[in-house]
This record gives sequence, structure tokens and C-alpha cells, in this order.
Amino acid sequence: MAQFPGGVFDDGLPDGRAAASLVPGPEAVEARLDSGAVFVIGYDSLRMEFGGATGRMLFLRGAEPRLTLFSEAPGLLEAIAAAGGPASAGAVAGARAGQAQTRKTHLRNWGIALAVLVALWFTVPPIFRVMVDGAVQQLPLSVDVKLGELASSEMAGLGPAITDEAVAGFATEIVERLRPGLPPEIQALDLKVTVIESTQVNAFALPGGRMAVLSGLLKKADGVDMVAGVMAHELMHVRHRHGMRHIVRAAGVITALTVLAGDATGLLGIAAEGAALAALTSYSREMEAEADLDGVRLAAAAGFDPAGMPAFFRKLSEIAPDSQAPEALSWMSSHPRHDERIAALEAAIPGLVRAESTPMKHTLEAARAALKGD
Amino acid sequence: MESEIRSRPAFAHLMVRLNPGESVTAEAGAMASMSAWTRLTARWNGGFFGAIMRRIFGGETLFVNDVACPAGSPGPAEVIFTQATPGDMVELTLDGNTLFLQSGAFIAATNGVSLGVAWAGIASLLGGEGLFRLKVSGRGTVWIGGYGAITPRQIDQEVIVDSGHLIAYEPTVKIRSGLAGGIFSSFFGGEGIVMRITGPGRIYLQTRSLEGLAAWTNSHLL
Ligand SMILES: [Zn+2]
Repeated sequence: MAQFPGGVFDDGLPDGRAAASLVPGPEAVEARLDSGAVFVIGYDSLRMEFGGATGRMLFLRGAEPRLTLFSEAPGLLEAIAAAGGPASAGAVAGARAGQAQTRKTHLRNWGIALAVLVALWFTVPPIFRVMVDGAVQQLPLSVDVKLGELASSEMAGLGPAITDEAVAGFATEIVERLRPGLPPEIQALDLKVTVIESTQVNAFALPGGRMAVLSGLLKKADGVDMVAGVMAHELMHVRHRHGMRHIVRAAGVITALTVLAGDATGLLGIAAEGAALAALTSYSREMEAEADLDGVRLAAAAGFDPAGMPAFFRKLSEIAPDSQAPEALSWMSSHPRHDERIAALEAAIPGLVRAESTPMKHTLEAARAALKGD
Repeated sequence: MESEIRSRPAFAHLMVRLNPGESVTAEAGAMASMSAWTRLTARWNGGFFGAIMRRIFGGETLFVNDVACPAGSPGPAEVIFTQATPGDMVELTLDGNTLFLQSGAFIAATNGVSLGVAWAGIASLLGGEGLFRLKVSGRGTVWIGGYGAITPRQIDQEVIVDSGHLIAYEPTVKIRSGLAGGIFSSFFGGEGIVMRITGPGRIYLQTRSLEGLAAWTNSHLL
């Protein structure tokens, strides 16, 4: 006869419980203890239900209220059905009905949980964004400046600053031409631009208005409008305080996860770190779109050709496949999805008003001539 | 083998005297002192996969130690096991039955006890206990430790246990997570998520909770 490992609860036992082997017979289930004691529940009074920590523990009860047999061994219910035949059929049906009911409840609970998750997924991020933007607006611009100063030491590591007037003056003149299109509080910032000697095609702006253009970008650009387009884009990150919004957002995500998890250990800790990293390495899609569209408007208002920005994106994506030096394209790696962005920009350009263009005092050609190793 | 839990209940520690040829399995960080000829061997806590899962989701250590007094040793090896939190330890006897232990409760076990990892479910995660639990079964002795005193409780009707207090339970009990009261009182009354436990079976509770300590510490840091 088949035996199933399990146990017995009975007030007569020394500890109130003991391990036992459950043996389904033709008329009753027996629980045999190591001590030799045997507990019996006849099928005529047997009631069974699943429960316990895993939900798979089968409990057997009979006429004696203080006696419960239990086992988690698979196949016990089937063995009771087979051994008892019609005698145990009622009890077996009762256990199965209970099991089906539990499954239904589980399914319903999971459904509700899933619905709540989906609802949160769609409602929390927009609310969160509004909260972040509100929080950033409460912070004075001087916080951006401080943050930019902290980060500016990183800039020194990229390469030496180029002080040659033909190069530095060129970049500065572009910023000065773009400046009047910015709101007064941004114009009041120290919008200082530094050209850094590097093979990288890159430009960036720190919170608070300090900007860097790497000389590789000047070498790759086909005209002043391309350089102006990139710089206008970067200035718009400053104007919309994207850096601050980013950091506050990342901090908010970490705080929220910490509150939810109790502490940020284990998986949630890893998720929080990942979120922070992602947040600090590149701006969000909406931020980039905002910098693109406001950037071309700013470039056009300063008399630059707004087509310079999408033309530069296109040039970067064209030289990307056969590029021998991946570091030459670092601006593109921090600004992905260029096809969509080019399309969005080209759609917006016909509606822009370009101010009258006056010749630059410093030209791209002169700047490039002054660069070493060209 | 002889064993004794000393300095109960506040700073309980476990002394095990192993005769040559005897060994116990212990939580990786539990050994505080031992005779020079004691041999320690680290192995995965509940198998490689289980150990990794428990590390990630349950905050447990990756390894357990097999602590042995090798045959031919000059005498019995006396080993002292401690736990990280101040509190009591208890000795439980398994004779074919199974117990589930929450993170950190396991101190040591004799050879006939097998250690396994079992999925604990969402209720356990919400109760702050992690997704996996340690399953001890077989025949032998298990020592568990807790923060504060440890009290066993026989469950017949449903009881409500604040999260962080349950450290061990028999597999016959059913655990669901729930809110202590309504949503409002749960979030503003400080009770939050509780465990609703139904029997039959026995549970072991620790009188203090690490969450409580963390909250108390935080309130004094700020
Ligand atoms: Zn950008």
C-alpha cells in the first residue's frame, strides 16, 4: 500500500503533533507514527481541504475534532480516491471543489493586481513628471550654477582648452548671437563656452550655462549653421534646466523605491542603481525633443540656417557605419534615435522665421585652420 | 555532541561541543570562536541557484559552513555560534517534520537536517520577509535565533502578526499579507502591512523587529 509522508495534530501527543506516514486503505486513512501509534479517519466522516504555507498541504479531518492529519506529498488525493472508491468519493470531490475555488480566487486577485499595476504604470509617470518639474521650479538657478561648477572639473579631463582667438572667438561669437533669443534669467547666466582639443565629435552644456565644444566637432561640421545648431540645442538643455530635472527625477525614483522596499537592498537596490545610471547618462526622449525644436527656433532667430541642425544629425548618422573611431561620434551615442529627430526637425523648419543673416566676424574656416593636426 | 545556549535571553549564543568525527552545519557568519582543530568548509546555502536567489531576493548569505571536529582530533572541538542581533536562541527538534525559517533566523543544524530553499510568495515579500525562505526538514536539531525574545505560538484561529516578527513556522500554517486596518489607519497609524496567519500549526515570533530598530535609529540620526 502506498505511503505518504506527512503528520498528525492530536492533543494526546506529547508535543501536540508528530510526523507520520499516511496510508489510504479501503475504508479509512491511517496515519502511522514512528512510535507505533496509529490514528485513523474513516471515509464516512472524512473532510479534506488544501491549505498551508504553499497551498498544497492536504488536511484531513474526521468526527474527532482534535485530530487532523496532513501531508503535502503529491498524489495523496488520487490515492485516497483510488483506495476508497465510492466510500471516499464525497470527500475527494469536496477537496477538489475547494481547490477550484481557491484557484478562482487566486486568478481574480492576480487580475486585480495586474489591473492596478497597469493603472499605476500609466498614471504615476506623468504625475511624477509634473512633481519633478514643480520641484525644480522651486529651486533658484544658482543651484544649477553650483551643480555645473561641481561638474566642470570633469571637463578638464577631456583635453586642453584651446585659447587661440580664431577658435575660442568663433565659439563665443555663436553663443553671443544665440543669447538674445533666451529668456532674461538665462541670459544673465555666465554662458561661457570652451573649445577643448579632442578627436571626439561632441558638445555639451552643464547646468548653469557652462558649455564645451570638442574640436572634433568643428572638424566634422560642414558650416557654421551645423555648429550653431548643436550649440543652440545644448543651450536649450540649460534653458529648460534638463540637468536639474534629471537629477531630481533620479533622486525621486531612488527615494520612491526605497520607501516601497523598506530599504534599497537586493533586486530593488539594483533597479535603483540602474535607474540612477540611466538617468545620469542621457536625457529623456522628451527633453531631447524639446531641446531640438526650441534649439532650431533659437538658431533661426539668431539668423543661422535652421536646417544646419538636422543636416548635422544626418551627417553623423551617415558617417557612423564606416567610422573607424567610435569615439568620434560620442555626441550621437548620447543623442540616439536620430532618424525620428531628423524627421521631426525637418517637419518644423518650414514654419520657422529666420532672422536676417549677417556675416560672422570669426569663420569656421579660420577656426579650423587654427586647429592642430587637421 | 553536547550543546548549550548561554547568556539567554538578551545576548544568547550557542556552544556546541563536537566529539571527533561529528559535525554541524552553520550560517556562514555565525561562528565566533572554535577550537584550533575544528575544520570549517563553506558550501552553497541550498544549492547554487537557490543560494544566488536567496542572496538577491532574500538578503541571505551565499554560503553555509560545515563545522567538523575531524576524526583523530586531540579532543572534542568547542564551537561558539553567535548572531548579529541581540536576542534569544532556541533549540528545535525535527523528527521527520519540516519548518520554514525567515531570513537570518537560521544559526546551525545537526547532520540529519537538510537545508533547502523554497519560494515564499508575494505575501512574504510584502511582509518584508523576502521572496524565498529556508526550508529545514529531516531528523535532528536546529538552532534558530531572533531579535529580542523568541516565543512559540500555537495557531488554531487566525492571528495577525506585524511584519518583521515572524521568524519560523510549520508548513501547515497559511500566511497572507494584508493591511492592519483600513487603508487610512494602515498608512497613518504606523502598522502598515501585517501577516494574517491561519493554522493549524505553530509559529515562532521574535519580540522585536529590525524594521522597528531601523525606524528608531533613523529618527535619532536626523
Ligand atoms: Zn541633447
